Amino acid sequence: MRVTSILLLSVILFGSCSNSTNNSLKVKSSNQYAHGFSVDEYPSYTKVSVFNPWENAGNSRFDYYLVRKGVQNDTLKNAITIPVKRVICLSTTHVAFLSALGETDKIGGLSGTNYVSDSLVNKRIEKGEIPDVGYDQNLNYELIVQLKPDVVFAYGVGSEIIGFLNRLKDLGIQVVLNAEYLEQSPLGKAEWIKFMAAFFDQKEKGDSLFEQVATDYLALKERVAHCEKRPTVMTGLPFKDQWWVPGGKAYLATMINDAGANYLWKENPSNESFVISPEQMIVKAEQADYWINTGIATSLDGIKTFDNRFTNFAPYVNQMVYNNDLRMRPGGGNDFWESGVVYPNRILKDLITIFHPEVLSGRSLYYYRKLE
Amino acid sequence: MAEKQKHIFLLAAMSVLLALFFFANILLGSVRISPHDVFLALRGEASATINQIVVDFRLPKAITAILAGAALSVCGLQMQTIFRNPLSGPDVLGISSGASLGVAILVLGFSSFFSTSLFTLMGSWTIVLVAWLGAGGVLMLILLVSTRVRDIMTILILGILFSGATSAIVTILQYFSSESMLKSFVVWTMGSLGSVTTTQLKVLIPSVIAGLALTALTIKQLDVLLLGEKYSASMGVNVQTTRVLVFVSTSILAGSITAFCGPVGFIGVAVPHLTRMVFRTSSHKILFPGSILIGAIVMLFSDMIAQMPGASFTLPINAVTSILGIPVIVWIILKNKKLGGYF
Repeated sequence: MRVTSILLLSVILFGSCSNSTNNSLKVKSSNQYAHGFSVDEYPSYTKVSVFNPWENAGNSRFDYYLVRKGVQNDTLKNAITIPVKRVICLSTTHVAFLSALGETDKIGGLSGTNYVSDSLVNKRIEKGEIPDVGYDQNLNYELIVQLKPDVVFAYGVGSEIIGFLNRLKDLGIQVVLNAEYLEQSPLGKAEWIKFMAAFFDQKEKGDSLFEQVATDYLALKERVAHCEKRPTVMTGLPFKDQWWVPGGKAYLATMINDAGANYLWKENPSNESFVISPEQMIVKAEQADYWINTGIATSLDGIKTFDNRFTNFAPYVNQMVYNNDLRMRPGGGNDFWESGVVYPNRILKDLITIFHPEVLSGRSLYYYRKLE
Repeated sequence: MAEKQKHIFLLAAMSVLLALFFFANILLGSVRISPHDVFLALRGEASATINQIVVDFRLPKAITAILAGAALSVCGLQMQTIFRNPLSGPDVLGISSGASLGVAILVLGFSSFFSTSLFTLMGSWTIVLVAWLGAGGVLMLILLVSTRVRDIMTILILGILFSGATSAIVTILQYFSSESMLKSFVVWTMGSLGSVTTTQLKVLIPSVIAGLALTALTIKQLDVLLLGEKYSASMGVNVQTTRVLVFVSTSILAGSITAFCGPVGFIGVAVPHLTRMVFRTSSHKILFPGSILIGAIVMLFSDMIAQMPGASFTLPINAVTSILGIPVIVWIILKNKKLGGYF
């Protein structure tokens, strides 16, 4: 019985593939670093898939069919016509990808307009061209419907996103899930530009932009790979008794390592952040040379007023404290988390400038700033 | 006489126990330090790292635990007597809620409506100050009401309504605030003993001592109040003045602890009952020092559980005290059948 059904299934599958030569795969997805998506080109359409778009999403998978404007399409239901003309972005990282592709004029609505760093987008927000559509549970559905977007770029941090997806689907709105935030490697995150490019029919531009970023990143990494002196780096600032630190395989940890330095928890196997007590940090950070990403502390004095017990760390005493808030906006949005996702090479360049001034001398920092 | 000796013996025993818990608390932490090293550190002779952990972190935390336990328990004792209600605690007047409202307006409100630098808001003193202002604001309201309303049960109900209103405002503020600010606020509501620094102790210690001293002035009146307000008045006790003294001392005590440590639940309700069980008396002359000692011991114990020796992280103290405090109350209720016996 089981064998028969498998046979039957394979006949159906095989049959459906062979009788329409029009639908054979033309260009297969060729991701080098990203694991969360694929872009497969067929003669009459492009199939974009997103895999497991949130933590513990099981084996879920979301497929989107993109059909170029003017191309005949009778078989694919719910296809998205590309290039899309009007989109809503629910994350500022989506804005960064669109900015790199030169497509920010297509943004018709945003979640968190106060937190955007991109100057072009900010000008449009000031002119009132881009309304805020709310966030999470507070999404303004009526406004979203009124804006008539071709696509809403969303992201989910848990399975509760399903309810939200269905609600928008009921309203006849296409929602595309992004999951660049789940990629572990900096280049994996940046590679999502290929995913976004597909919706604007900008494959070449997306590919070449990523190629540049990756080449630059790898070249920088190579320059410090054999440095003899690898300084030790501590990160973050606690709130109350909780000191959150990135896991040894997390984004920031990878960057620190690629910048030719030792991250305090580099042996840790996780890619997620975890919490430790200040006591533990004192023991671990005994050997630290640098202290980066000090969160809301914007000056050395700031750290002191925050908690004067943290002034005993060696990087504080030696004034080797750097924060990634040079491009922070008054509202709290930080370009480090926006364009930094698209251009990890810029972040890496900053970190190398900090840790190995002998390698990149005289360069001014882009996202980072030395705390005075 | 035998009764009095028994009480003195119990108080002495509790003091010894407190000292033991104090040292045990300093010995335990997420970093393993041998007792020998801890003693060296207390004399300033250990390595710099260990010195820093013991002197800058564990010592202030243990002292804060003692202050918090003593202050909240005494507040609870006073409230239970004044309201003649066994479930009263430091928060029945809405003082902790008032403090939360102050912090919520600062952390959530300001950051949502004004683009102030987050950092100036989160500085250690700013939070303490607004929490105090919030607690003080609620106290003013309560005092205003209590001069007009004679019936103590009405004040109790009004206090509960005030807390309800403040939590509603806090919820609205949470609804509109950004993720990171919300997280900071939630972390604050979990309570923390370890974030109190030596400098802050220089303010916290005098505040708690002042609050306890004010309470000490009311001990006799509280004893008489147990017999009923009318009877007290006929005994020459000025009920109104006593109330004002008790309300002021409670808000100094609960307000300061909430300001520095965040809300800490159930200690204030459970410890007075525990104290009455241990000393088997309703005399405040005994219950007052007894609550101070037992409160401090329970708080040190809660903190030891919170830091889970060996684990690299600490549990939120507010959750630990609630988990420990609630079974104690349930046990007392089941054992005594009714809690009203002492009132």
